[in-house]
Amino acid sequence: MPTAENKSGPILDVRDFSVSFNVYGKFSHVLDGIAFRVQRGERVGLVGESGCGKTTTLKAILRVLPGNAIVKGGEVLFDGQDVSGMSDAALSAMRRTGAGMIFQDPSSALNPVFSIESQFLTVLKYAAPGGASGKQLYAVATEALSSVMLPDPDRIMKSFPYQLSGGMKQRVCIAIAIAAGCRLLLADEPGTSLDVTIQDQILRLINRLVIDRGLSVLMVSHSLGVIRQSTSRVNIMYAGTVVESGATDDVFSDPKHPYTAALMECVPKLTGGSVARGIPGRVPDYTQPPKGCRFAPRCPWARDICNGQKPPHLEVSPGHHVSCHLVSEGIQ
Amino acid sequence: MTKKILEVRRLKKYFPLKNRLVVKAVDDVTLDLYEGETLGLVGESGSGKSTIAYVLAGMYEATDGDIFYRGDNLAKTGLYRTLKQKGEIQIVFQDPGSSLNPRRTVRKSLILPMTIHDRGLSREGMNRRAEELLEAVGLPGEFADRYPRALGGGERQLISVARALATHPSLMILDEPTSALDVSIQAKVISKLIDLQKELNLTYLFITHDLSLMRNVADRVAILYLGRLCEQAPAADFFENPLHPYTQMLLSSIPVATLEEEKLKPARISSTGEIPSPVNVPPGCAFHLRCRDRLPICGQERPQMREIAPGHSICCHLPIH
Repeated sequence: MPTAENKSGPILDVRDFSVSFNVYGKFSHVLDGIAFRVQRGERVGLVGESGCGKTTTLKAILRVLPGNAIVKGGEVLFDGQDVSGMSDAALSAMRRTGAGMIFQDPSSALNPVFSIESQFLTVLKYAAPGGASGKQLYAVATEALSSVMLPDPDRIMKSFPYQLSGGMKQRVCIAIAIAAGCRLLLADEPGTSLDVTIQDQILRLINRLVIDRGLSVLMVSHSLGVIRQSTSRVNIMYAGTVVESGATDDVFSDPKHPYTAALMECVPKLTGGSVARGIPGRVPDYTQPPKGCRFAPRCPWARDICNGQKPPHLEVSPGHHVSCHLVSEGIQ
Repeated sequence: MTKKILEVRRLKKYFPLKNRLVVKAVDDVTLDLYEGETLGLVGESGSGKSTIAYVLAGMYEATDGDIFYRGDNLAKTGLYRTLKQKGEIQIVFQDPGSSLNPRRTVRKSLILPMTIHDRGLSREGMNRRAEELLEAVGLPGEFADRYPRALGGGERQLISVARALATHPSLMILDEPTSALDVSIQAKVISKLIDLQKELNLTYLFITHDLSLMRNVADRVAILYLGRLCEQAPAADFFENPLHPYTQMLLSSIPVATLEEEKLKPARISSTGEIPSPVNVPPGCAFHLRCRDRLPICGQERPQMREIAPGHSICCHLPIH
């Protein structure tokens, strides 16, 4: 298994990255200059509602965007290397042992007609070509299965996906990702399709792996609760832009961007109280996104400048960044 | 809130499988619904929440038990219901994408129930009523001539609510009406549902897996586990003082977005184990294998519902401290 390279600097650095899609000649401008970092050993969250570009961002990191995607600008640096400029060999090395991904729905992430053993060993063979014998790989796999708290790894290896519950399948996916030696775990809504009690177990497992194995995690979710409990830094996305970022506790206790504040209000609270009325309007049409702030058409405090100019990126307190004209003008 | 509209007594719904196996999807559930209230029925997947909804809506025949609706026993007549009963009990499904016919305009979807339940209405009257229904759920009248695919998820769900209202229901069964929606859209749909309830004096059976949502919507909460009720209580009481070990585990597993909520959660009970298959429910208490306080009796004898405080009952052998 490859060891983590001794480099300082973030493991993932997304800089001013923009992606558009060519949909039958119409251009859909989805990602608009997003920027964030994941430091080594850090858990970073990416939150937003459906269609805000969370999954597009993850795909861009692994360079698996569909053929009609056009990178308009910016770069994604993995371990200091630009992903879009990587040679095939470097790219395949990154996908093999650099970044591992777990998906929302473990049932469709695993192939239903192959046993766990055969899927697991295929991945491991690819991760370490020509290296280890089948027996050694099997040992690596069972070790990984027990490290994700699955009892009786030998039985799991012989099973087919339909014989396992959703929570067990998600554990298998995590085991496959870590056994291949990934350093950055890309988690795309890892608990969303599971029950809360099982989701809780999976999130605690990921948190433990971060500590035990020094993993870095980019956790993508639409659930503010999940992000608050499992990340130390968070980026709030709206319509393909990062509107606010900072330490998770700072952002959640004192949201500065009108969208973040509105979103927080919409989440039903365990403490009760009334139900928010929701955010008026809907996500903009990406083929004709607003010229200025993308949230301006739905923002109750929007002014002329918000519609005309892109908001500046401001640091309101150490590490806490907001993209909003109102904050820059001191209106809040 | 005093008059009972629905009384469910020892309701059972079994599905036979091959090899003489039986899925006990709903097993001995007793519930009351009072006029004008919202009862939150909460459970994880496989707990039988949707099965209860389908039985009450008349889509499944009950295996055993009684369903008294305004004095009539609906369970005794199988799937047969009078037109009036069908109109008064309506259901809204989770996914409006598949519960609305993609080839019908919104107007056609809204008018269809009227052609059965309101035969006296003229075509013009039906059109007018369809527009009234759209207005009632807060959507513009021009949506009437659109197809579902041209609407957003929240708008589609409001259309299914409007369609359910077409028959002048008094009891609405809401089966996870917002779990397919984003939170900002969910908030819109929920606040509309609350408004409608007040305006039309509707009774809601609100089925969900989201306890935080129930805190804000329900008057009373009932928790299901493997087809059985394990706790039932007024919402305020329930969230302050959850008593059943499963309920406590469920509450402590919820990821919450603020620190204040974190303080409200019961002391951390690590969730362990998984829900057993409903084909093979453990003997005794269905939850005992995952329960950290289990007693020897829990594996042998099935606990019965007992009332701890007014309106607050649990189904558990453990002594209450």
